[in-house]
Amino acid sequence: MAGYKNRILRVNLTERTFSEESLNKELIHNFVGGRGFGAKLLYDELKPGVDPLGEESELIFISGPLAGTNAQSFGRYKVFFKSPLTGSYFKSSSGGYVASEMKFSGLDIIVIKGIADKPVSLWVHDGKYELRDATYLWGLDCDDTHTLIREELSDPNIRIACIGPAGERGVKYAGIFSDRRACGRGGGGTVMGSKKLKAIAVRGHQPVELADREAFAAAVKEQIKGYQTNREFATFSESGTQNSEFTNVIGIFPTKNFREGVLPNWEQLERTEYNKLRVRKTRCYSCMLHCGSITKMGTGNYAGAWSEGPEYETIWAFTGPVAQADIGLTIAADKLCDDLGLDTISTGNAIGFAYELYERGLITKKDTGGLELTYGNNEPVMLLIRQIAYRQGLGDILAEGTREAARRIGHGAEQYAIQVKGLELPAYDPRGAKSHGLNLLTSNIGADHNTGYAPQEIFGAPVPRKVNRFAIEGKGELTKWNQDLTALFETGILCSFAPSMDMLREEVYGRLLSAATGVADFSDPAYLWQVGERIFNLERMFNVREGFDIKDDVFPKRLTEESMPAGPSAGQIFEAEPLLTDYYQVRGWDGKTGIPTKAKLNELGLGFTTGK
Amino acid sequence: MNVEVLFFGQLRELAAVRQTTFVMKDGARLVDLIEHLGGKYGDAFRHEANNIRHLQILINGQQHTFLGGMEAPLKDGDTVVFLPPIFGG
Repeated sequence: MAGYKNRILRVNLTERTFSEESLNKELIHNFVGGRGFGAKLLYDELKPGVDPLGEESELIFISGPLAGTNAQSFGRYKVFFKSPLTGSYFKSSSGGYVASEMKFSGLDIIVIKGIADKPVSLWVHDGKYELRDATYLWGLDCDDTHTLIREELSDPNIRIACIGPAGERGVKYAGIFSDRRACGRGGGGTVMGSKKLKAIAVRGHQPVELADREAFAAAVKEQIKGYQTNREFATFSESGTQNSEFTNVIGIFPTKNFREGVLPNWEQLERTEYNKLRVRKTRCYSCMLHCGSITKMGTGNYAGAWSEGPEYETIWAFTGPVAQADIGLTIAADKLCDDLGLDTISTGNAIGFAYELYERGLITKKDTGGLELTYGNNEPVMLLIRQIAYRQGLGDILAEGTREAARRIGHGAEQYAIQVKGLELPAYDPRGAKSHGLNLLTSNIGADHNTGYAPQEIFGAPVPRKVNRFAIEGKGELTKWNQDLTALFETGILCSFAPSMDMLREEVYGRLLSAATGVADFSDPAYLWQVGERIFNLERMFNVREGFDIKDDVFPKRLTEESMPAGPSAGQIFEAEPLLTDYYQVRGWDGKTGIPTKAKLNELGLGFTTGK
Repeated sequence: MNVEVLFFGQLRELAAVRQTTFVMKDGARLVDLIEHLGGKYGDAFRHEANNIRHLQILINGQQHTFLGGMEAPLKDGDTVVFLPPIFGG
């Protein structure tokens, strides 16, 4: 079938064996691709209760049906795994060039299983593959790993997905990095490290076939027109997500471990300040948004520091948690996390957690190795990042994630771990944006903003309707809408910015898919909406099989019982009970257990998950 | 009464100021403030303020849509933010 390469590569690292299989038509029709394939494969292939870091676990790399074409913003790939941080289903994605290169080398999917007896890298090139000794790369940072693999294979255009020291050492939120872009969240790099797989290197020259070239070209033209006529296009192309004003002006920029919603001196982190430090633009494969930036400090404590980014989440991660707006640190810490292979969100959140424990006396200088973790003092941040990545000092326990670290520390530390299902919250306080918060609470991977981002609350987006961010009425329906729409677009692994800025809607997406693959149903938005809902429910059922239910859809008490103390969201709490009740009802899930009903599962063609 | 105003994006460029305070008559509404801004910063500002797609006008962090729209009443000490669309991830 066109669009896809129709090939799954399976690699068993224990046996050092390879096998290939084709995509089956039922999988394609029912799940379309990308996140749909990942959810179905994980559900089918992982035994319940499997150790995420054990021999039987899998790490699945997937490129989408539109990757490698000239359709815009489909250059992302996704990895799927059972998370060592949350124990749940997990998906994580990255932009760049790996997805298209996978297609050019003849693959849609790479499934990694087993554990190598020594560090290896997987080299995939034009339909051929081999495992190579990576002992000499073990211990190197991500940037150096890229450089040396390209030298080893004598090709500067090889695309790479690798881990850094954090993944090698089992830091529970280690990511997988590709040219400074990351599958950051949930510990995909941890799983990769446990398999002793240092890197996957990909290079290919095969074209991506299209079912109807003329119709596809017309759909791409329509997509590009949607971008060019969008008034947000120029601003986003220039600055990407490099700013902090949009959340500070509505009082949801988490500060001091989610105690406050406005960062003092946040104007130092505005878009205009990052614009001054930009030295180059970057982009993903076939994406005219080119929202990435190389940013460099010219003066100050961090003179010479540079990174690709930092993006909004990273800007928050190293400012809000320590209550200090220092633009140089955001850049230096971003690069350090990229090099060492860490998720910036969980890293920053864990550091903020440590600061609060220090303030409350639950940890002392004896635990911190003499570091003074007081708000406004951001000097320890760079050292703490290194300690986490190398599991040294206080970093060893923070490397477990805040939920597990709190459990080990005890004395009530649990209430200061700001996480859901073990995944640390990102840079939005849910008290001031109820649908955005409801998504963090119910996302199948824990507190992930990108599973069902609510632009209606954060940016005032009018589709499907404008909403009051403090209202709770109708937020179940809106959250389901955002989550299912995201799943719909992630079948093609579309970058989330295009739809959130209303540059691309499901009608044009459907035409792209249908023209590329030849599957007529894909041109029907109603069909795609149902696939989105199917994917979300299947992910939920993976978690149900692992023992998750309503008890896991829970925020720490701070967010549901302590009102925001000041700022534009002052007085707000997150009203979890009515919001969840509404959400479960809209989803067709049992309100007492939070589990999809059999009727809902059968309606979605997921009867196989009920065990009958 | 005093109303604090913050500008972002192209509106900041036209106003040539990030943040400023305006003295308004008691009982002033949002529409009065915008008229005042148009008079102070010129037609280009007025045009942009009325034509930026998805411009957020926030009064103390709340979208003006839910406070009465352009008729939203202002009071002493209010902060009004003009925020053209920008995005975080």
